[in-house]
Amino acid sequence: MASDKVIGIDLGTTNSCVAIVEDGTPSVIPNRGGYKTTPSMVAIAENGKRLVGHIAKRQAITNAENTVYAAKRLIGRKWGSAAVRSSLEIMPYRIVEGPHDDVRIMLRDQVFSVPEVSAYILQEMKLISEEYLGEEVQKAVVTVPAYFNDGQRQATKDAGRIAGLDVIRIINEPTAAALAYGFGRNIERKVAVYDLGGGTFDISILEIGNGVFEVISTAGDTFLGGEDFDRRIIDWLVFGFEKQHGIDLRKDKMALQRLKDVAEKAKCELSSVKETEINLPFIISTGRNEALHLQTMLTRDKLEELTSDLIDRTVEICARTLEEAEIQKSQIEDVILVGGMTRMPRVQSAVAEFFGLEPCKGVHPDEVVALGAAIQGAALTDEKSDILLLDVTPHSLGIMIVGGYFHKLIEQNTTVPTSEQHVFTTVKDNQTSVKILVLQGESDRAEENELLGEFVLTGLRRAPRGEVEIEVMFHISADGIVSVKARDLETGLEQSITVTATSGLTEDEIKKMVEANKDYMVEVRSGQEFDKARHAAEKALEEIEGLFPQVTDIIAGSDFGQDAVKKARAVVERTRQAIAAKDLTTLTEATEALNRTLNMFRGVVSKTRG
Amino acid sequence: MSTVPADIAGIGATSLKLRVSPGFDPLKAAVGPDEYFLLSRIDGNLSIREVLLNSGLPIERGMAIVTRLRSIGALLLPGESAAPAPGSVPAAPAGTRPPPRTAAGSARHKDALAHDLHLANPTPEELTALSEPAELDDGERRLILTLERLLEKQDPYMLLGVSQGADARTLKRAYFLLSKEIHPDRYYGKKLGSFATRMSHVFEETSRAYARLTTVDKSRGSSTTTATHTNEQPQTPQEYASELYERACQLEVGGDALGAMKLFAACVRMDPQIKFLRRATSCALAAGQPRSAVEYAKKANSMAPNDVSSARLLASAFRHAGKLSDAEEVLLMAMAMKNENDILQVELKNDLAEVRRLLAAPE
Repeated sequence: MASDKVIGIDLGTTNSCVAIVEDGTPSVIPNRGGYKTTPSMVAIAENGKRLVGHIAKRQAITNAENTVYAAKRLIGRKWGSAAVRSSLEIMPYRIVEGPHDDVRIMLRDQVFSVPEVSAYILQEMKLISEEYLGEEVQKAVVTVPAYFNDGQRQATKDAGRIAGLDVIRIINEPTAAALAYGFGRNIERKVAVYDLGGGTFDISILEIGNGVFEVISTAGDTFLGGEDFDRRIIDWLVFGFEKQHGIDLRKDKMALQRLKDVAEKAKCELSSVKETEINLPFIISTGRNEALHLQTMLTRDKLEELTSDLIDRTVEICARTLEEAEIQKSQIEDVILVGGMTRMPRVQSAVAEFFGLEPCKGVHPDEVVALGAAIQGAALTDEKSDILLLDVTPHSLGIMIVGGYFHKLIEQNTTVPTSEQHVFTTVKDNQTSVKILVLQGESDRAEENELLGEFVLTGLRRAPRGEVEIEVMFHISADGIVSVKARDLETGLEQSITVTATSGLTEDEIKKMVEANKDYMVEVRSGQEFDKARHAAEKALEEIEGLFPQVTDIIAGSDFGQDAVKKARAVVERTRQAIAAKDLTTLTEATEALNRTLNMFRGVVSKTRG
Repeated sequence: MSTVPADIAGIGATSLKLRVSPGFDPLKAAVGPDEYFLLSRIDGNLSIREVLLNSGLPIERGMAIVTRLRSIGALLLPGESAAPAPGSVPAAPAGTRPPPRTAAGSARHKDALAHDLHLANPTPEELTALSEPAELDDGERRLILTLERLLEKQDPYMLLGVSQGADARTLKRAYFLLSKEIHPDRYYGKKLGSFATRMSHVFEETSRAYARLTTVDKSRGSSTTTATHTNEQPQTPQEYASELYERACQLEVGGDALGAMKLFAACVRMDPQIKFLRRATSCALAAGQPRSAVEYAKKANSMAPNDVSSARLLASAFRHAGKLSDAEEVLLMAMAMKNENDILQVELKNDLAEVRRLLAAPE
């Protein structure tokens, strides 16, 4: 029998966890082995069998090439992205290029998409909960890092669908953690969630009160996490070994996997002890029938030294996030630590030092995210729940305008649902169509942002440039779905899209599109801007004409006086022409130069008087 | 005795059998005694004609009452439907209006809201909304419609149901309380009819109003907004800006021009002093962001038009942004100004030569 229950899944880089709310109490569901978390690993065994979780992890050393871990680092990313590039070097499994700049994983000559691999993990979590509940589960809330973009979120949703789950909501991991922290407690305070997981770092600031959880600001780094700490240890081991024996261990896939295991283990141990022994007998053969061993001591101090810049980076991101949200450190009343990496004493002390308060110890860093996801699932579907999450959009949204610039309509960290509209105009004479490119990101250059979708509005009246007005409306629903509509204000003609998937375009392709479509772009315009601009320009013209004789007199004697007067004349002329041409863009530019000249004229005159 | 006409304007034939709208609460609508009396005669089995004749009221008065009851959403025509809502059965008339009722068993907090849900003189559109099929009770509908009305007043305080100039904490509590009633997630999976868009719109506007009231007006300091976090922030924007400036300078000296840019941006936004603007300009140039440099330099130049070094900085920004003609003009004006500093004059000449060289270059 199908259940109407909603499970919460924390789909982690290294480990995943599933939870549910029953009778108003959230709890983590243990897997068959009794563990509360399951390794996010998928492997294909020699006999072609698919292995997921602990079984996959156990055989990872002997079957490194066919065992996928950290697929989350690849999900929703483009083949050409830096993230994928760097993964190519460090992952023992084969990552290949798919269609549309997509990423594929090769395991025993079978090709898998990244959402497929993630789907196997989600399916495992679904099975774990079904065995526990004794009924089929269809709905889930899945968490992602706060800084995931739309493409990564969509890909995670796709993974859910492949796994046979209806992902009713995607929420951010730090937000989920805050939900679990504040659940069932009558608190009213501002909190920070510091989430350092296996692959990503996130920081979120929330306001909690009366069962409402308002996300104020969120930021992070999708490429900074526990695995980077592991890699520092691996590099240190490899370097030491190479110095001693002249052999690069990274060239051997099995050795690399063993190094990875031992590095992770040593890192975890050093959270509770001051030093640990690393011992890898028979790590590699010299080819002369003799094997070499790796044996060394790693101290906590050494680990902290190897990774101090990583921790510093997280603190910098915290500082920036607070600044952008215009929040003082002293306003934060509690800090919640999430993610296995926050067990590291140096991380805890760095956080305590930065915020000036001891982090909250009440939550379990590995389970809190899944619990929060389950709580949100119940908040949406259970009448009795008294929880409301006011979430925000993690990235700004807008469209591309003439010149390849990005015009934001919705700023990042705006509470959803939200909508915004703006009027744009044509940029060419007799332009009969406009192309609306929907983008997400923070750069003012279009090509540096992510393209979410595009559509064309045709049938515009033939008219001089700037005359036809097009209103563009954005809407983000409570579940984060973006829809965009463009309307010809004259005819009422409309075109719209709902952004459902990424287009898979690369930066280069977007750049090419900017070039190819430059005749179909729009530019910003609102109301009677031209009339206003003309009025201002005419006033400035009048004043500057009055000053000309005086200024000419004063500066005529100086070295470049004549040139300066000539230049000023040209600026005045340019403004006159722009007024005659009735062109807002040119007039705006000309007026700016005119005002500058006028200002300097005033300066010259006042300086002489004084 | 006057006769009952065949039709009542705005309703239709008097042979129709009207029903009381299940969502209608006469207490909330504050009906008068004779209106209530007539309402109590309407049972869905008698035609309007019969009701009017049986009531014993003058026919004109009776017709006026029927018209008014219809206009406030009390009466339904045959075929019209409304969602059943508890508490709609007419109870004893009361002189004063009791607080709005909430649906039994639901974890809602409407009682705590300060909004007046009376919804006087509802428009035909509002009446339709009150009776359309949707999984919402009468109180929930009235709240959304009331807020829609308040939106037109463009008063964020009224919208949130707080008094003018309420402090940050009061605003937050009111916003959270209201959000719990009108955020679409609270009605997830329910059929909301026209209320789906209404609710989203009302929430978006409420959220916007809250954001406006709680954000310090960055460009002007803080005077236009009353409720800010100022009581929790000991610093003035100017003090904070200087602090940011110090830190930005340290970062820049340390070689992190990009990091410094972020702080400079925040710093000049808070307090656009000429000193800050100039430093931000040169940092932007170092960070390879000529467009930002131009913005900062323009501002600095407009604040001190006869300052030669600001002008030189502006010219430099223009040059890096590829606006050579602008750069030339600014340099010429700067040189034409009386300037006692010979070194600066030489620098300007060099700059001008460089710009003219670039202007002459074929590319």
